[in-house]
Amino acid sequence: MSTVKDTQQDIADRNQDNQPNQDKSTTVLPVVLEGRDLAKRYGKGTNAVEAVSHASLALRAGEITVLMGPSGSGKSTLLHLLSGLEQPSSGTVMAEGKDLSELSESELAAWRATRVGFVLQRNNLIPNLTLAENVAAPKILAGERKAVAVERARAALIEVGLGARCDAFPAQVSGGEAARAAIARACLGDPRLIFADEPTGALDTDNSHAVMELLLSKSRKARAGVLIVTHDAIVAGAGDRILRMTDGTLGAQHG
Amino acid sequence: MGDAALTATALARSWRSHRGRAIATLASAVIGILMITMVVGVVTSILTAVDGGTGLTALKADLLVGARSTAGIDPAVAARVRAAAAPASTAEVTFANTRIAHDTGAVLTIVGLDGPLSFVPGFEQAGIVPRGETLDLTAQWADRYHLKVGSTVALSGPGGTLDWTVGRIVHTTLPNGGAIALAARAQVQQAFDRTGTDAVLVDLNGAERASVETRITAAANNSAIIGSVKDLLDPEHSSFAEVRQIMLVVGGLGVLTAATVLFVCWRLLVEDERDTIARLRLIGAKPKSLAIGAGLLFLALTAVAIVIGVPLGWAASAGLTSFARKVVSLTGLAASPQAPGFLVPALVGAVTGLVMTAASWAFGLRSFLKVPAIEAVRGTEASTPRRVPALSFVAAGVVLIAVALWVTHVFPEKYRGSGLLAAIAAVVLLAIALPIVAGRLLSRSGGFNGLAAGRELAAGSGKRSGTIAVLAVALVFSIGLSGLAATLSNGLRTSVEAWTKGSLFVLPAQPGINLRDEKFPTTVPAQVQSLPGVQGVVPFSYTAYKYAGSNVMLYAWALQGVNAVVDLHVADGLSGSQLWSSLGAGNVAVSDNFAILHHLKVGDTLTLPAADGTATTPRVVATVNDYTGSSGVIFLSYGTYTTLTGDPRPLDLIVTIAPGATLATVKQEINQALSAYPGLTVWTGPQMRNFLLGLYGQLLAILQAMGVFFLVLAILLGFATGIASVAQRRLAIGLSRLIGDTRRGLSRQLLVEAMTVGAIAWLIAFPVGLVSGRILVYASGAQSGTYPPVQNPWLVAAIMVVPAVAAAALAVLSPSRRLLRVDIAQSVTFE
Repeated sequence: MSTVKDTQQDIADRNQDNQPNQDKSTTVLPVVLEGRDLAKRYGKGTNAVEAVSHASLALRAGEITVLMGPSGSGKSTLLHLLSGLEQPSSGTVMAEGKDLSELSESELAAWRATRVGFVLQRNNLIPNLTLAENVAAPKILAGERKAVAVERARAALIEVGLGARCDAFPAQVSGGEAARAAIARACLGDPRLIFADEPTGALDTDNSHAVMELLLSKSRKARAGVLIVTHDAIVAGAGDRILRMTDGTLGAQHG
Repeated sequence: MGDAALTATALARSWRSHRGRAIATLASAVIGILMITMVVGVVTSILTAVDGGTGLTALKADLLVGARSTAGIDPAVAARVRAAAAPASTAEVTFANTRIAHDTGAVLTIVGLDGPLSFVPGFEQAGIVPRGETLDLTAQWADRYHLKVGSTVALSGPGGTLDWTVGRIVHTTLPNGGAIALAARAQVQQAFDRTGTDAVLVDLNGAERASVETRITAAANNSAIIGSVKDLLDPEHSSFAEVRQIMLVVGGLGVLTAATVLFVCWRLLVEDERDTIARLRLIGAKPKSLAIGAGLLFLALTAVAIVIGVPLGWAASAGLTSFARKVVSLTGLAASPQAPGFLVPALVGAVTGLVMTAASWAFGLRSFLKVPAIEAVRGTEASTPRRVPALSFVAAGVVLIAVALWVTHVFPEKYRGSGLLAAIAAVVLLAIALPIVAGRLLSRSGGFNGLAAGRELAAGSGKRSGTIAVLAVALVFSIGLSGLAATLSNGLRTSVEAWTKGSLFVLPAQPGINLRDEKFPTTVPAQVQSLPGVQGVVPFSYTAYKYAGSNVMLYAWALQGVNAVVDLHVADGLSGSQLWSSLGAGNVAVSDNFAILHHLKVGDTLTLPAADGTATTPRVVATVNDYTGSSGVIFLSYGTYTTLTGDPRPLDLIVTIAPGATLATVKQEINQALSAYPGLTVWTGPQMRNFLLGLYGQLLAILQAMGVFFLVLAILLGFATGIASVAQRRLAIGLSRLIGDTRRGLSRQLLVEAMTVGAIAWLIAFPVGLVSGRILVYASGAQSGTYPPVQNPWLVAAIMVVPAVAAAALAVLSPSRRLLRVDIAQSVTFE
């Protein structure tokens, strides 16, 4: 857990320690998801707006990619395209060899339940389910027995320091606790991909550090490919590489 | 005022994106206004027709002395009253209820006057009272039947028909569609075989009213009613006490349910537009301006609902003229119900609409004004599911239903309607608790969607409880009205069956159409008795008799052979031959409701003034389960009836046929023997029963139709709230899809939730509806004291599960489809 005085460097150092390979430059990590020449247009004719233009990006297992850019630059849209939440106007998204646009709605849903985790800025949790039930939900949807899934969820919540809050409802927990529960859900069962859209956007500094550290450590442990959208420089510093988006265009990689 | 208008505009525009809710809101307001306008229109139509049919509304006098029964005031009494009234001027009036022969619809009330035309102001322009067999008509009525001065018109009456000549046609507006004519009293008496006087009219001419009234009262010696036109009309109105009460109860329930739907829709609007309200407050709108703004919106809604609902309601009441005609036909008056005047129903409908919407606005104002400005900044905070002692609430609800049932069995009849309070309280508690119980059970089922659906139900949403409660109440009233209809129908059937056991029924005109003066002369029973194949003839007569301010029915049979054709259902006292013997000795039996209304029991005596100024004090020897008289029925022998009314003429001859004879042959003999009666009706027992029950059938059909109205309201509500509940689950639905749930799974989940809500509403409505049927019987009978044995509509109550569940399911079908089509990203993105 982070403390008040932790800096960007401290977080980066601790996560460096969690990496299985010390030398980033020499290890070739497998690609778990690749977006090729993606574009997203809204509207038609002269009113058309291109939110994403010719973006290509690959996410690798165990690698943390940070996507930065000003508001309205298309970062979240690109995340939605890569995670299959929206269909691109052109381009393809390949996940573990499958083109997401060719999957049926059921197949996409099953993919999200079993292979993908999401952490959002807020409203992560289903209001009328307890924290344990929220964390267990994807597994139950994937066909796991409810009792077993809930037990695993409880264990996951203990790991993130929420063991005493398993039976609380989302309205009864703080923003930081809700974010930690969302991380526990996203990382339960070793997902292949984790998408985080401004995961610390609604949190204070202390909670931001704690949540980021948790996210990074859990995702590295799961060896998931992680895409974090943020405009927080501290968060960005914890990633393995930083990509910038400006006006829908993906710039060169940093870091 | 600008900020109030701004609030109204913002809220009104929100309905553009919630069209279903807007339609449900407007429709419920329209339905409530329509129902009350229709009910008032029908009641007005009936009362106006009855008033006109008595002929009394054509009269103008300072005082009237009116007969207690249709036989009129004894001539000697009338003479004493006129002498006592001096120096006031007087006139005598005999009314005749007749029709154009061979045209059952062309009814006419003849005012037979002996005195100045100033007593009948509408006819003053004629100059003088007609002489001989001459009638003065209104242009309104004459035009309808293409009659001119000098035309001959054949009118039916005792002995057949009689030709009258049209003397003058006056241009005046009179009630009853102008079906009031003027003739000389002596001519009317002769033509209609009348000896009595229906009313003595008094013009004070400056004399002191109190003194004249005292002298007249002494002269009449309680054989007549003394007062104004209104005092004489009031007893006529009492004949419809039950019908009027039922219609007003139903209209009131309709308004109550519509107002509740309106209130729920208003609350939903507040929930939907919390953002808007919060932002208005953030930028400085004052609570008072917000309240006025919301009020402006309601005013606009009310105006539109009135513009639609009032004309529709009036048109519906005009369309129910045939129903009004059937209700009025039972009086034997020459009343011709017309489409009601527009003003009174419209006024009542409009005022009701204003009160209904004002009440809904007022009750929802608190939640509207509670929305804080801070919500505009940080959004609406999620609420924790409430902890409710669900099982205790269920137990309490069950107990309250038992209490309601107990009240309807144990309390005095007049107060049994109070059981409704316990019933409604039970609905509220069960509406809160049962979804929680159902949710807990559902969440234990396997799978994510079962868990999510169960949790959603168990969250104890106030809005969902409100929806279930109102849906259940609408179903309750629907079931209750079925129970009321079944009870009244059964009560009427058993009553009618008791006195239609004869082989044939011979009447001078069809029941329900025959007028008060369409009776046989006293020679006809013997004439029919002498026909081949006839074993026995029991004459029957009935009349409305003014007693204690209401119109009580007198039913009288000749005693010889009556045991074979009448079998009264005696609740207490003498029955069978003993009863008839006792009636022959001058005693009476009374109906249940008469006994209740006048606090009588077997063994008590009552005083019945006679037409000749004397009075009889018979003993009550039995109470009878008869539900055909709103103000009650007194059962008499023919002799006692003749003494009271002075009118020995029979209305109906009940014929038993001799062994070996056939109904067809005897019927033919009777038709031939009585061919002088153009309206002669000879019916078998089943025909008679079916017809009499059919007279009431339309009222019962209206009750059933009202039940459907409540179902429609329930469905509207289901749609309005189903739409709301789904739309507000946008985030939860989006998150579920985000983590891997499918559209199909969620669609099924929403459907299961909705169907569970519908099923819970039905589960509550089933027992409460059956109890409310009892309550409605007692509420409807509060004025008339008529409480037939309650019939429970088990089948209707059971079948109600189908529309309840279907409506709830349909309500979420479209909005859930729309919502599930929204991108997941849009659903979960924080704006």
